[in-house]
Amino acid sequence: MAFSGGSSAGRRTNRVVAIWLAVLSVVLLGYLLTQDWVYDQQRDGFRLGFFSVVGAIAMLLCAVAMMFDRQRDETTPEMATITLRQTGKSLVALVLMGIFFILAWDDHFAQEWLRGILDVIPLTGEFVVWASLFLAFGMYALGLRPALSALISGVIVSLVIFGLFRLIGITLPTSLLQS
Amino acid sequence: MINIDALQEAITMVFTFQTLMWLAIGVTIGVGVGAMPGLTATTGVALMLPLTFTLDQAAALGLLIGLYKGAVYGGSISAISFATPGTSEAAATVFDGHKLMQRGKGKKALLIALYSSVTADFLSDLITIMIAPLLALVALQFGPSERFWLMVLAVCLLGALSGSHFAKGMLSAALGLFIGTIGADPVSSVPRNTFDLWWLGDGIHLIPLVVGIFAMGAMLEKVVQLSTVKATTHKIGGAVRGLFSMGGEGLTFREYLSCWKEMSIGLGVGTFVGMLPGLGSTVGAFLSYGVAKQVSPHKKIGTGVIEGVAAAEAGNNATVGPTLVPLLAFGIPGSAVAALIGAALMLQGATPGPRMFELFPQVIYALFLVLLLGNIFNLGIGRIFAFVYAKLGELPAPLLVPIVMSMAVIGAYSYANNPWDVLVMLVFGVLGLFMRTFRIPEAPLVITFLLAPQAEENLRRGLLINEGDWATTLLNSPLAIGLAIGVAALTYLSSRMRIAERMAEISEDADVAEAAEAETAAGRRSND
Repeated sequence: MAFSGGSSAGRRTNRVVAIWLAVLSVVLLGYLLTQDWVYDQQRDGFRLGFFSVVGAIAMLLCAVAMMFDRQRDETTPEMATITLRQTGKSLVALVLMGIFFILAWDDHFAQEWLRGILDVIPLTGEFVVWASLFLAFGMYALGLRPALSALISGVIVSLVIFGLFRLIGITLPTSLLQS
Repeated sequence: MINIDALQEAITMVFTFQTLMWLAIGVTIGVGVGAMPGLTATTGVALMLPLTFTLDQAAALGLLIGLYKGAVYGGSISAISFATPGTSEAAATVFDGHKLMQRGKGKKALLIALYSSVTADFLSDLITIMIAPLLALVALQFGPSERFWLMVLAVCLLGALSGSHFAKGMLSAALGLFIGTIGADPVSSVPRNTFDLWWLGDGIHLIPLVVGIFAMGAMLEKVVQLSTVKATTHKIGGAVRGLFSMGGEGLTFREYLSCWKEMSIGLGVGTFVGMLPGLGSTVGAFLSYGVAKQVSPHKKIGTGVIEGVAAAEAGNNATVGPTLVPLLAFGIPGSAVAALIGAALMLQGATPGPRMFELFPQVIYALFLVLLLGNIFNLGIGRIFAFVYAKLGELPAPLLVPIVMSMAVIGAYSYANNPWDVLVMLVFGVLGLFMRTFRIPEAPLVITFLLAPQAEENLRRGLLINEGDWATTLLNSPLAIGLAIGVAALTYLSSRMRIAERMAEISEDADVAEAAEAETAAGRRSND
């Protein structure tokens, strides 16, 4: 289902999004065409960048087609209603998952600046601790009430995940629950 | 011709405690995933895919196929109970199923949904088992240029039939092609398209890509939706308290048999739709429901009768087995889930395609056995726990979203213990959110990503055979010319005749009905 209408919907029609996609495709294509590897000829006579360039050109053609086809003035309902704030929240959720990964699996990170931070945070590399905290926070932030329910759910779920993965042979990082 | 040795080996692979346990786990998780609005079969299979590398071939197939079968059926549970289909393929079930529920015949509706799903699924699996080897024999006659054009045709078909906008479907496929070229090229293993990032030298791994696009993308969309419902408080007590509380009138064997015509329609329509790349079980359910309504006007389908539930459920579950036919016969996945099952086979060292029937016949037989056994597990687990699952639909989304997100992180990392895979997964999560918001279908991206190296390999093999002559390589046989004309015709017709829009209208009419029903249900629940 697609609809048109409203000033914000007008700024987010298929055509407007397609223009942005076309610009990105042109940038990508321009980048590809300046790369030496694209023109490298292999022993079978095939240019290494053939399919990459075909992909970028196809993206550009599809974006241009979207600017001029019958549905160019339509706006998807999701596109019409999404706000910057909502997009920001979802990106924050994504960043938090990245932070959760770094804190729970800290062994992987040897970068000096990151180690400096991780070394002052207690209990890094403890999956259950960080999973409990992040799950509880996520549940609460998304509307689960009361807070105690979110906290208890977070702890239980992280223990269940830890146990299930251990059962199938994947050990999640921990030293507290070593046995 | 049946290879008896391979069949015996497949039987020993499948009838082990481990395989049967994973099949049961797959169905159990699948029905739950299907019953919970917001989670789809694709999300579930994508999340479980990283776990399959710890399992053997049969167990991995059991987990994924069991999950797929369970999820397609499971969607009907919340469709009937709350008029909120757990998955889009169950939206057609709402029309009659929920009306039966409102009249106190919820148990009857749930049971006919289960029995018609399992019946059509089982029979369509038998058709799959008969057709796939025959098509593979045909596919074995193809040379590199025919295989190349077949892949291009499949991608065009996916673009034409996925979603409601041809250009968006093709954009998704083009993006998949571009992403598929990142990393070492498939013939000479020379790194390319890495943006000078050393960790992309090995290319984008399939698991972070699918987990990001399907699971993380879906959850980010949920975060967006939940943040519109400001300060809504969700409690988890009611859902748990209500378990096991459903009673009501059951289903007699005579009533089950009275739906034979609708189940046959579902079987025929679902099997055909399942084999075509790009359509999927939602179209199968709505086409089957529509045909049944036309064929039997005296049964008053749409007013709350079991025949309506049977038609819709038979239609969607009958697509499950046949969706694997293009994968097994030609090595071309016809749907996102088929692509993920194909990926699991590749992780296990068995590349799907016509040669698989020669190289790994035991895996093919094991897959067929798992397909058939999955129905028995679906029947048992669905029959015993349907009423428990009915309450899963009440679990609040705020509980679910962080769990799935953390599972996505674990899945992306555990596959290769590579922290960069987590970063890739998160990046594709953003892409998944954009694609959902802008309604760009994800399946063409993932399928083209999988097909890109194979297409390149075939094209380059053809060029080597024909000493670099492109015209001879691309058009070296009547079949190759026919397929090339097919690609051109399909592209032209799709852009002129709005095939994608018309197919999508079938599903979107249902979306409107589903939204209206859900609104009614929400209103009723708030009144309660």
